[in-house]
Amino acid sequence: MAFTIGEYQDIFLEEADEQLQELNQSLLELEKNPDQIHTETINSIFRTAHSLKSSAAFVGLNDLSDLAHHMENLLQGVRDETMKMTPEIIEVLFECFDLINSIINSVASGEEPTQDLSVTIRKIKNIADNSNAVEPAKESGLKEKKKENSKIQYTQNEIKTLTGGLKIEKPCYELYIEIDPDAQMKWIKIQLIMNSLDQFVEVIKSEPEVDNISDDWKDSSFKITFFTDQPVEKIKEVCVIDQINRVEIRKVSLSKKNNKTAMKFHDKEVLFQEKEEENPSEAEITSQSPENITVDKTSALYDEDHEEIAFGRRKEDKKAVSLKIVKVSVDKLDLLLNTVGELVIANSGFFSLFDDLKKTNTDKSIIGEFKNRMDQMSRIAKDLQSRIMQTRMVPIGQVLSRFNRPVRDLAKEFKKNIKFVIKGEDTELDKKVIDVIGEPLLHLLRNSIDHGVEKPEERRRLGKPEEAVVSINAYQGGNQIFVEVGDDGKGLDIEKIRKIALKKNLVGPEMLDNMSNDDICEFIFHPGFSTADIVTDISGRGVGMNVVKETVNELNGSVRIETEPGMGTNFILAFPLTLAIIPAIMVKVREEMYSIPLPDVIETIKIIQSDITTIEGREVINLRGEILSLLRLNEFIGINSSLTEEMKTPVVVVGYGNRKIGVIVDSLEGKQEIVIKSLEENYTNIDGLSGASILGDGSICLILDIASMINKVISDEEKMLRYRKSGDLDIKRIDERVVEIEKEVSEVEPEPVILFDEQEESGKIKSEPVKPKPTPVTDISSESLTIDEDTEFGIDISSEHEEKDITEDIIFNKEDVVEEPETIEKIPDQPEDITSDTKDDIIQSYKDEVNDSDKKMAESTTVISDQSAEEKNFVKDDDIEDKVKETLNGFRQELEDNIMSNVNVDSDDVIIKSLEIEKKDMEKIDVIANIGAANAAESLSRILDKGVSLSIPEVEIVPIKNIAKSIGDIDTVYLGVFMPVTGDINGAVLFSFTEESGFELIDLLYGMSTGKTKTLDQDGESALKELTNIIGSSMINALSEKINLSIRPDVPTVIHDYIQSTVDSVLLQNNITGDYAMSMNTYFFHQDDKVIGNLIILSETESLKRMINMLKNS
Amino acid sequence: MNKNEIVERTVSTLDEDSIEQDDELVSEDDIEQIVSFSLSNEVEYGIDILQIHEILRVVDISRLPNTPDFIMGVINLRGKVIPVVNVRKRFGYSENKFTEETRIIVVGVGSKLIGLLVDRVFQVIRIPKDNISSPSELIEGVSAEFIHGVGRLRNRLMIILKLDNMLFPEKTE
Repeated sequence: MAFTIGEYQDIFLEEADEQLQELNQSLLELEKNPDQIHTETINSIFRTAHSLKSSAAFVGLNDLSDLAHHMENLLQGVRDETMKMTPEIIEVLFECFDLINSIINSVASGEEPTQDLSVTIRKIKNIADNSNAVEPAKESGLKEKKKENSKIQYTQNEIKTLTGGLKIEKPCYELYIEIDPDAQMKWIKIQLIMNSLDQFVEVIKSEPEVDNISDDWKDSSFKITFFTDQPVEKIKEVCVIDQINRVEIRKVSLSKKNNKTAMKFHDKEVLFQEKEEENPSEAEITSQSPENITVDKTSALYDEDHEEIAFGRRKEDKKAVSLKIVKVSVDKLDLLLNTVGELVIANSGFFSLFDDLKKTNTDKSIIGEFKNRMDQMSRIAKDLQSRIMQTRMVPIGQVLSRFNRPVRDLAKEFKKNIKFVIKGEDTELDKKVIDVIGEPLLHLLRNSIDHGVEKPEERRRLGKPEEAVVSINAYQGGNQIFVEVGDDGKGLDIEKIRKIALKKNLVGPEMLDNMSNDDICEFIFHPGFSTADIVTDISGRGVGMNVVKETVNELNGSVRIETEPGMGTNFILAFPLTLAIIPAIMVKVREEMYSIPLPDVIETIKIIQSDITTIEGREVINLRGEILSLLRLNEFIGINSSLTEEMKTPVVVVGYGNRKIGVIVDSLEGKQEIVIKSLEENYTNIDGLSGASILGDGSICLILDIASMINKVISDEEKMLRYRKSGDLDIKRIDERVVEIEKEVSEVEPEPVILFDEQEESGKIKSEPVKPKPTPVTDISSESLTIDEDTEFGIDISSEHEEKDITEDIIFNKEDVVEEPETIEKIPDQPEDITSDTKDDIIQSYKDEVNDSDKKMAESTTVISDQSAEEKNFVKDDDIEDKVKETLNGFRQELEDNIMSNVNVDSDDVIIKSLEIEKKDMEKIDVIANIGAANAAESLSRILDKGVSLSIPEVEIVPIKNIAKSIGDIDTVYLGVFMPVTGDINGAVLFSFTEESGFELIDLLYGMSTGKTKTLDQDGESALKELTNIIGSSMINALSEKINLSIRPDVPTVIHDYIQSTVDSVLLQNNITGDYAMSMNTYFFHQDDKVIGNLIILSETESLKRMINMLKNS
Repeated sequence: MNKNEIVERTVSTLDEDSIEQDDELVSEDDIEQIVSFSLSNEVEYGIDILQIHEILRVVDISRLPNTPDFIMGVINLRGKVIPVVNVRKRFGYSENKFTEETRIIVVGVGSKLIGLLVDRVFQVIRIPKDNISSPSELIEGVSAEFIHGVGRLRNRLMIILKLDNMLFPEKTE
């Protein structure tokens, strides 16, 4: 069973540790300026020693208490100015502190403390004696004054009794009790004590007389002398009563040399010395204090050692400068934080309740009061939450200040003159980090002092100030906390490190030659690496730096070395702010809230669309002369932005390392303190997110991982560069091929096969996307979706067209329908409800909804929130819901009819008209697409070494919704390879195959027998990519040549998914926004008419316009 | 092969099986308690009650970018951020609209808490262990990924789910 000091062990250890730090701190201060009078500092040391003494006594560590007691006495001398603060005293005090520390450590590790304190205690006594000798007169005078109150004047008779008792060795004690002056009914307290004491003591004298103490007793101190054969503890026990400030017990014994006359105030020193010689081993008496010695000098008779037990409220403590700290485990804080989070959420429930109440209750005053209380509650709850969040963070000063002492000791040991500078004590770190960084930091300090800093003589020789500076600097930078340990010493000896690295075979000589100094420095973290010539007891064994590195790595931190020969070395430790509360900038994309850690943010700016230029396919802005790459957050997270062209665009400029990018968001939502919660705990790490945070209202906000975002931009750029390098070759190759092909194709082109295909297939393929003639139906089927498009289309273009009245009509209708504000929310959602209820395959994924809702509902930017609000509340009132549904159905019907009658033309025509694209322009594009497709088919045929026929390309402007359907069956998984196209046309080439034909292609490409490929593996992917690269490029090249536009193909990507998802991600990733896109759609066939795949070029309608303009001009 | 098809095939295989049982005679120890739920198709699904932490009505789900589409997002479960899997999508069905009966079943899988979005939760059913057959007897291949077993009750079948693979897409390799 481990040694324990009972239930208060933990409290004691924590407290003692703190007290010790405080003592060290104060003493160092004293040492620095020994000549000044530090009344406050000495008082502080004294108080702390005193507290330590009593808490040690409380848990039964009597030796420790004893030592503290002696320290206290020594200090008291200094405080009372009977002694001077000499280096000797400071040294012995430090020794005491070390002893105390080792005792505390023993207890903490469950061992019984066995440290021998007697040597130190004797040292203290010697010092006290010596200094007493120096100034005896002053001292005695003071002492007398001080001790006056606790001295009892004895009458002759009493002395006779006393000495009589003492002679027969009856144990005698003098008890001094001081009651809190503010206490009520003091006399009762004395009576209480006396009643208990009476049972086992023989009272010699009390002051005042016990009989005289009654309700009119106003004094607050009480003295009593008595014989007893009970142990001191028993007396102590009796005296533990509420509101007693101080209890002192003194053992009184008699010097054998004494006689009655000598008892009176004389011969004190003699008496005392005799006493010590004659009774060196009095059982209960374990200590002799200088204080007592002086008392003995003045009060002859009871020259005895005494034990002093002080407890209760010590007023000194209240004045203590240090913060009183309650230590709580971090786990408990986490629990608390969660609970408070719930409170905040529960509280937010009141707000909706309040709205209901407001409707039904007419009593204004009650509602007003309810609102007041509610607001107050929510304020308090939020306050509580933020305060608890703050409790997790601990200033690093707590750890750093501990280093003062070891640095001093080390400096002494190595005879170096060191000025230790601590900066940034206020920097807050997560408790978990604080708990472990002490050791590594200390090790770095040791290294600096031992190896880094030169000896004073050498420094003088080098012309450096004799006093070396060793510093610790903590600060926050970016998403990290940096702790720098630096010195202005000689710096790392790179040559030596090289040699040792070679000697230890850590690296080959050739490699070493190519290594940078920074890399060479890294060797010192290698286990067993030491540059020290002599192994000292604290450093040079080569273990430490390795441990430093490992500890820091465990905290997900890193160590960096900066060193300059002759100038010094800097170790920079970087720790992440894990679990920490961080201030963050909240941003929104549509209704989704994200946060960017403030340390990553450099600034926020607003730009307009025309500020953005495109370089190498990347959007950049010129920010005060600096080219800043932009990243659209909405693209990064895969939704559409709610920003429109004209709107000012907020950009958050973020930095990581020395890289900067601008992140385009929809809106800035201010600053907030957030707690990072791991996504890994219940899910997994997600690229681009460093975690999630729960906001005050209980909603979740995702935290962006700026580092990974920037890395993505960088790697994209690199990829782009690399691609351009190799791409140039590729393109050239293709170009050559195209020329060749053109030669051949000039004959091949008019081949009847193609023409035949054109006729046969075009009808078939065309029929799918072009069909959307709205049939006004009550039975809402898949077609109703198409109607949707047209419907909104009507709304969309109404301003430019004659359907203006419809728009008004719609709005009017809406108002009609909406009687209660509540139902407004539902309206945008309803049409979807109706369609989605009917047919599964129309229903988009949740994500798609987010995307599409925008396109569908031109007028509602708040669809998502409405939707979610709807989802949350469901429909409280079925009747209302039915009514709304009914009205909406009617409304839809009417709208459809309206559009039918007004827009009684081919939908395509209307679209084209709205885009101001004329039919003849489209025809031109058709021609070009034909050439491109032929080129592509030729390339494909060459690659496959088989005849390939193709359908005539369909150039059309299609609603984005219909694209997927025009490619193939929505319920089937396709292999899609898409190749972004940048430059004058913003779009993508999508080559898609059914799984079957995709696998067949792979087999063909690898020259394997058909049917071998069953799954899509890396090789298959790259084959398809390469194929698309060639086919797509040949098509694109034809286009770009004919239209004289600069169009560049990008790296292809393979998607294996349902066609709808594939198309969606193609559109998203290529930023093809808007409701319509231009598509050039071609099917390729094997000779046996089996479909190979579908090649579709998607592009935004803007690009189409550009193409047409170019065509017009050329 | 489409997962949709797999499950359907599973069901049709099961339907042909003749079922006999007399669970009256089974002792407590040999009974598993299963919470049954629906994905609005003809199959009834079940989860071992011991894996279930709680069942929630639908709350605000925050979308998670860059995740598979069957991950609907994350919810705040009393200060914990937990992912929600749309079970319909996970099994390759299309997504359903939320209704008043839509529920999130919070289950523990390993050390993780996961929300499963289902169309409807029915009841707790006691099935004798003997009446749960392992999927391998009935179906072959990939389906074992999600299916712990098939429970037979008097006149119906229930697919008892294995939750281990709910969260992450199967490795293609």
